[in-house]
Amino acid sequence: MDEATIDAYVATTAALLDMPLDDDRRAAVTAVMLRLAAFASDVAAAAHPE
Amino acid sequence: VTASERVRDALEAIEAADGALNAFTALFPERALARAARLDAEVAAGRDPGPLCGVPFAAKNLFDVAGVITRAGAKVTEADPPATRDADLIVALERSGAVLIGVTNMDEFAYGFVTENAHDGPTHNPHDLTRIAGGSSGGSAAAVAAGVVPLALASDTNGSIRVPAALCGIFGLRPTYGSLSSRGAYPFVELLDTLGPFARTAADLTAAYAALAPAMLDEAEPTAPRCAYLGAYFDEGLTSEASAAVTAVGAALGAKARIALPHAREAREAAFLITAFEGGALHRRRLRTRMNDYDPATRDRLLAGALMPGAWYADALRLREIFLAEVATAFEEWDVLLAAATPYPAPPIGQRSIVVNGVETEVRPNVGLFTQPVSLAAVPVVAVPVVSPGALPCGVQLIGRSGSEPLLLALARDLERRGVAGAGEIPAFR
Repeated sequence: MDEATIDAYVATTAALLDMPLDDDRRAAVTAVMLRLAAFASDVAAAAHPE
Repeated sequence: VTASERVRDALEAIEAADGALNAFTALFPERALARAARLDAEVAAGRDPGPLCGVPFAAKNLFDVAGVITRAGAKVTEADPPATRDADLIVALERSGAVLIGVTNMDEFAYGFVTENAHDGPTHNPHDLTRIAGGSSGGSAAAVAAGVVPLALASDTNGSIRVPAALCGIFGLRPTYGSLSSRGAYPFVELLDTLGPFARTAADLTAAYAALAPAMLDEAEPTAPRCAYLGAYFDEGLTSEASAAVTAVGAALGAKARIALPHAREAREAAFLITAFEGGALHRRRLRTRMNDYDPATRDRLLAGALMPGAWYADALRLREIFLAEVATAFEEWDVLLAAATPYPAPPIGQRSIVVNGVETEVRPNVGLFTQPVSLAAVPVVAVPVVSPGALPCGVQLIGRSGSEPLLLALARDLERRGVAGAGEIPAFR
């Protein structure tokens, strides 16, 4: 998943959950979410083998 | 020595040492001295207050103490109502005669491996004050390592007992998940949270566990436990010091085989996801209104967790089932599995990255590289310290099947008796 997609997801979900993020916070949370996305990709592959 | 004398000695030792350590966030001298006086009166009346009579202990500041606000290392909790009663594990230790003396520093909400708390400052490692004590139970570990209290209570979600035990060179027990009451402890990740003790000796750790879980120690121990090294994932990114500690303990326990848990890496990643998701969910309401009052080291991870897709959490739970089956299979052949507790000894306070075998990695997320997958397995672990003269301590995880605490504690006592493991002395604090 690319950074732009994650950034858009963070902004949308934050708005949905009524947790508005300023630009600095949004960038920091996107950086964390990118790491989680990489982990989630590995975990999904192992949890659902072809 | 009376209970009152022991408590006064501990309070004086803390007064002398804590300026350098920053291990404690609050002391309760009136409560402790009043309780010690009651214990002394019981002894004078010919009664036995228990095997831990007069032993002073500390607790991580996420344990409820009656009349005190449970801060869990945070600023946003400072206006919470005070606890109405002590946490169950504090009650259990005091029922055996121990005396709570204070609460200790930690990573905010137990979300970290370093105890560099933005509100309370960093806890310093007694072996080298420029270095971290590890986390998130760093205050409790540093207090025990420095010898100002012989016992302390802590919590371990992803390694928060085992990591500081290793970096501070003391014994720590993460009991079987769900085996001890967590009532009165500030929660973090329901699926992983486990409470347990620290001690400077394996005998004291056993005594603490006996007070916390008296029925467990009645179970029989295997006479010749079969021990194996965890290899593959657990061999990567390890310094020579940490590797030597595992080899020394393994050699003493007759370990020869090296086995792999094929999904260890994904188990660690699943633990990361579960932690973020549950932690984020727990704090979502507070983050909405108070996010700027959170520790910067915690805030963005909790925010990300609060926004994380549920599908990632569901996959992590599914991976957990696969890993639990893998671990159960390993324990059909082996009684004890061995792995380093941390990839390296304590890094300097404030250091962001570390080079291991030519590869640079971030310190904060990676100190728990070898403890996190084991947390997902829900099994008990004793962290034993290996302290070489002139070197910083390393720790080794003795990992057993569920309910095997008596065996793990017996092995820790044996390793200590043979001089393979042990806390060692820190002259500056003795």
